[in-house]
Order: sequence, then C-alpha cells, then structure tokens
Amino acid sequence: MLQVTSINKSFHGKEVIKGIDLSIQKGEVVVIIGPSGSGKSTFLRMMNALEFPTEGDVLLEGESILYRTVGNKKVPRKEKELSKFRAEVGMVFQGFHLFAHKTVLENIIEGPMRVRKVSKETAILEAERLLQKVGLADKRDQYPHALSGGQQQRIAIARALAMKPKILLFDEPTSALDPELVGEVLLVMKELANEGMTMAVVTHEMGFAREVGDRIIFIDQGVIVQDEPAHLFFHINNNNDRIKRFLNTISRNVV
Amino acid sequence: MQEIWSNIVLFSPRLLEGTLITIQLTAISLIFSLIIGLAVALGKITHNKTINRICNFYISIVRGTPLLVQLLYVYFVFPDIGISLTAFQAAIVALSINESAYLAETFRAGIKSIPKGQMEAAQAIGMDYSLAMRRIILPQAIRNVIPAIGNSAIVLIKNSSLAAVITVTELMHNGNLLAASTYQNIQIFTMVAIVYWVLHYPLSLFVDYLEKRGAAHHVTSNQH
Amino acid sequence: MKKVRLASLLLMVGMLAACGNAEEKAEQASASGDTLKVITTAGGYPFNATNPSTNEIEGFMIDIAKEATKRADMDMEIVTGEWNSLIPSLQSGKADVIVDGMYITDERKEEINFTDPVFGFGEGLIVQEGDKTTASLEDLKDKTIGVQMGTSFKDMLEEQSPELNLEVKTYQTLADLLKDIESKRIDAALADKPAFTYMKSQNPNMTYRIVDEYVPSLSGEIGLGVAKENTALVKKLNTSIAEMKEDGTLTSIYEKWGVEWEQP
Repeated sequence: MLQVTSINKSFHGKEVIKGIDLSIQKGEVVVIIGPSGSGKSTFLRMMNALEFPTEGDVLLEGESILYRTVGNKKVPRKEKELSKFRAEVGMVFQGFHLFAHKTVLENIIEGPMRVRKVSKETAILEAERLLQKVGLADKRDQYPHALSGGQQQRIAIARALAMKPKILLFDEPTSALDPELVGEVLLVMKELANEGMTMAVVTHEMGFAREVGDRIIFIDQGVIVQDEPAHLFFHINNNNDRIKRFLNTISRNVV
Repeated sequence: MQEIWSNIVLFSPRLLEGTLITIQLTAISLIFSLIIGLAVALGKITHNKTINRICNFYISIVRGTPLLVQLLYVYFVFPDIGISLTAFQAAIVALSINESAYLAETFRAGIKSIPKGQMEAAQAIGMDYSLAMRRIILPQAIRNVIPAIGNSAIVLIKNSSLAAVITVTELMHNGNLLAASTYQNIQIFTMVAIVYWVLHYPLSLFVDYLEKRGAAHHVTSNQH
Repeated sequence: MKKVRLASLLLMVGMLAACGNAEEKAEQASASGDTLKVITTAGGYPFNATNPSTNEIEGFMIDIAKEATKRADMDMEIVTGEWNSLIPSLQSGKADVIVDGMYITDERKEEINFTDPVFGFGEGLIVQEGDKTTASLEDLKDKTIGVQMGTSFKDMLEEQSPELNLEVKTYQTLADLLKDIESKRIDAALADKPAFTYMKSQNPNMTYRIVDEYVPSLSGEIGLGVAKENTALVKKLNTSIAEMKEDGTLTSIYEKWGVEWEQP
C-alpha cells in the first residue's frame, strides 16, 4: 500500500531521519513509537508530503508521490500533483486543526466538495453517516470552538474519512487531550482498525499499540531500532535497552 | 446667531457637494486598495523571491513617501509617460495605491495570524495552496482584520482631503474656496470638521462592534 | 493564485489605460477646440473667488479672462486648484490658462508664458484700529507683524529691514491674518492691497486701519499664464487684451470691482 524507501531528512544540515525503509500493507495498523525528538512525527509527515525528504522516496500503491519521471530523471512533483496524492492519504493532527470558521458539517464536506467535486447533497449524506459513526451527529451545526478536544478530534477523523483515503495517518492524536477525553478518540480509532482501515499511528498510548497495532515500529535518533509484530514487541523477552528505558518512562509518566 | 444660521444655509450646498465627492473618493479608493492590498500581501508571503522583492519594494516606496507627493506625481507626472487622468481619477489612483500598501501589511499580518495547522489540515485533505488560501486561510484572516480595515477606512476618509491639491473639489477644497471668498474660516472649517466626523462615525461604531465580537470569538477559539 | 493576481493587476492597468486614453482625447480636443480650461485658486475677492450663493467663480481677473477669451472667439471652463498646482497644471496639460493674482516674474517666465500685464498691485500695510500713528514700517520697530504664506513679504522684511527687529508671523489665509489683527495678537500686517481694501469696503465694520501713506516695495504686474509652448494662444489673448485696454473695457471692469491700476 505505502512504501517508504531509504529516506533521509535534514533540517539546516542536521540529520533528523537517517535512512528509513518501511512498507505498510493494506489493512495493516502500524504503530510508530519512540522518545520525543526521535523524528517520528517528521517521518509520518513525509508520508503525505507535508515534509519533503532530503533523500529517498515515498510510494503509494507503487507510484512515487514525490517525484515524477521525465525521461530517466526524477523531477519533484508540482503542488497540484502533490495535492492529488494527499487527497488519498488522510491525516489526523495532534492539534485537530479543524477549520475554525466552518461548522462541523462544513468541515467534513469541504474536502469532498472542493477536491473530489462531489455534489453537496452526496457530501452531506456521507458527512452525516460519518458523524453518526464518530458519535457526534448532534453537533453537525456547531462551530469547532464550542466542542471539547475529544469531540474536535473525532470530527477531524470524520473529516479525514470523508475523503475516503487509502491510508490514514495519525500524528499523536491524543497527546493534546485531557486524560478523560483520550478514551473516546481511541475508541473511534479502534473501530476503524477493526473495519480494516490501513493506519499509521504515532502515539504514546501503549495500551492502544498493544491492543490494536499489527506492527510496532520503534524509532530513536532517526533510525528504526525495532520493527516487530505487536505481540513480539511487548513480549517480556524484548530486551533492547533503549526500548526498555522508553517503555519505563512512558508507563511512569503517561499511563 | 442669526448670522451663523444664514451662513450655514449659504455654505451647506457647496459643502454637501464636496461631501459627496469625498464619499465617492473614499469608497472607490477603498475597494481598489483592498484588491491591490490583498494581491500585494499574497505576493509578500509567496515563496517566489522575485515577487517578494517587487512587493516589498512597492510597500516601501508607497509607505515611505508622502501621500501629497504621490497625488502630485499621479496627476502631474503621469501625463509625461502617456497616462493622463482627470483629477478625480488621479486622486482615486493615488489614494488606492497609498492605502493598498498599508492594507497589504494588514492582510499579511492577518494571514500570518492564522495557525499553520489550518494550512496543513487543508493540504492534508488534498487542497493545493491556492484553494486552501481562498477557502480556509483568507476567510479567517479577513474576518480577523476587518476592524483594522475599518480603521484604515477612517484614515482614508480624512486622507482624501489631500486630493484638494490636485484640484479635486472634495469637501476640504470646497471649504477652502468658501473660506477664501467669505473669510468665515472658523465657521466653515467647523462645518467641514463636523461633516468629517459624521462620515467617520458609523464606521467607527462598526469597528467597535466588530472588535467586541472578535474579542469574544478569540477567547473561545483559544481553547484548543 | 498567481494567475488570479496577474489577471487583477492587468485589469487595473487596463482600466487606467482606458481612462487615460479617453482623457487624452478629451484634452486634445479642448486644446485645439474652442473651450479653454482655466485654472484659478479662487483665492479671494476681488481677484477671483467663489460666490457662496451662486456657486460661480467671479472677480475682476475672471471678468478679464472671460472677455479676453470671448474676443478671441473661445469659451472657457474654470477649475479650481491650490496655488502650488497652478503652474504644474499648465505644464502637464491639465489646464490651458492660469487666471490668478500671479506676478509676472523672471523665474516664472522660465516655466510658463504670460500675456501682457492686465493689472498691477503691491502690498499694503494694515494696523490695529486704535493705532492712529503708524505711517511706515519704521514706526513698527520691535513689534509683531503678520504676512500671508506664499508671499515674499517675509523675505522682504528680513532682507530690507533687519534693524527694525520685527517678529514676523506667517498665516495660511488672509482671514486668519485679519482675525489676529482684530484680536490684537499682532500689531500690523502686510498683504495684497486690493484684497483687504476690497474687504474693508464690503465689511465697513471690520476693525483694522489701512495705512494710506505706506509705499509698497514689492509691486508687480499680473498677466494670464499660458503654457510655454502655446505661443499661439498668448498671441490671441494679447490681441484681445490690447483691444480691451484701448476701448476702456479693462477700466470698466476695474471700476466694477473697485480696484485701480494705471499702466506705467
């Protein structure tokens, strides 16, 4: 479904991602964990070209989303082409980023109508179905600022789903939430996973990772330290020092 | 008192004529300056270095020179390069250009005040830069800067009085003419001042209203 | 976005160009046709001023200009502008003739043409009403004197009479100047003599005294201003003016406005 091939990313000469390869299969839920500053968010943002890798490429269903080939040369894609790919890759942000001047319904139908050119009626029907799914049908005419963080994040998920993406990226979707609101968002994500949605999730929620994740990727200092099926990763025998230390910190501070 | 009243009756037609021109000058210039200002603001934030430089140069020239000189230039010097405008047209051009530079900064600040996440969220659902700008960023940015635009409009009303130097018969000019012929300076310019105040008042109420509403909105939207 | 921006810019430029072209044609027509565009400050009676009741611009300079253009078989249309816009208006083709109390000087002749003189005047001295003794500038030693902005009286005072130690105050308009004489904030004032003489004749209750003995030192003559290259128009107007001098029309215009001038 989505492949990342030996990407590097430097900011002002400082290497943040140092050669990562990753392949995500259809229907797979990949959970990416790692200490803060390990580059995992940057890594995720490269999967929909919000960040451009310094080297390497990202392929969606075998096609490069970053470059097109002219003759035998790779040319960076134009803005319009990038947008075409981004429409296929949904993203949910840590800060929700709902469009502040639009109602819940307008937030969800904006993409389908303006990007996919779906008719308004169809877009609204689909939006209402999605609102039902995330349990917020009664909020359709509210503005984002009237909603709790958890509700906003569920709307953000609905907005991403409305584009019928091939894969959904989550960038620390619960990190900005009050603890009591985390559950409702994780619940929606779990449902999606159960329905077979392909997902890449950057998170600190180890419970979620263990329960829902098919694969756990542990990133530290810009490289993949471990890439294991969830049951093996959390197996008591995992004795990588860095991971142990990280898991200890997480369980002390967050959970 | 009697004399004051008869003077008011005597001066009013001329001053009202001028008022009409002042309103036209202000309204038309405001519309043009909003369009140019927005274009220049977008030019300033685009990644194209050449366009950036042109826009910065434009703003610097316009803000760094007196409106009076700009008026004189458009009216008296443009004919040398083949653009001959009537006084009214020249005033519109100069006022629009002058105001646009200030509005460009206002718009730019408005756009910059919109959190980066809004653009990223728009891009993430497949919008390109231009669509995201039009649908997501600008509507919010413009709503944020409407009070500032209102303040600019108030300044513009008063700036339009400078058009008198290029023979536009707006309010101030007509006041000057009446003063020159009747020597009733104090009374005439008091009347002129009252008219300017009356013109500015509805705008200022509007700005106050928007600022209050904006403030209320801002507090709630800060929650996330 | 770039396209949209470019399009809107082009639209603006196009509109301006269209306005410009239309205007250019109109202007060519007015230059070659029968209507002269006259510019004046309408800066005050008796020269040229706006009549607040009729909204017409009138004055002896206007009458002279009207008669002169009529005799040259042309019409005129008056626009008003500030003093500093008069000469540029001729130079940029915005107007054909300046009709105002503008002295014919060598400096100005470098910029524009003048017709033969149609009037001449100098400055007059006025003092507070209670002052019965002042007869010349020498009587005003150490006192405060007001002058109008845009005149050369300030320079004259500073150059010619430094020993008098006068404090010179500059005023935007004649009205402000007279007001300060009446309220005794200044002791005296220098201004165009025809202007305040006319005012006093119209408003006998104004409280200032005109010093009749005063001999002006900055007299000058005024003519109609015409663009440098438009010598044909100067010729036509000069013919009219000569006729008007000849047949007494000029003198009767002076009488109508209560001013006097003997051509030297």
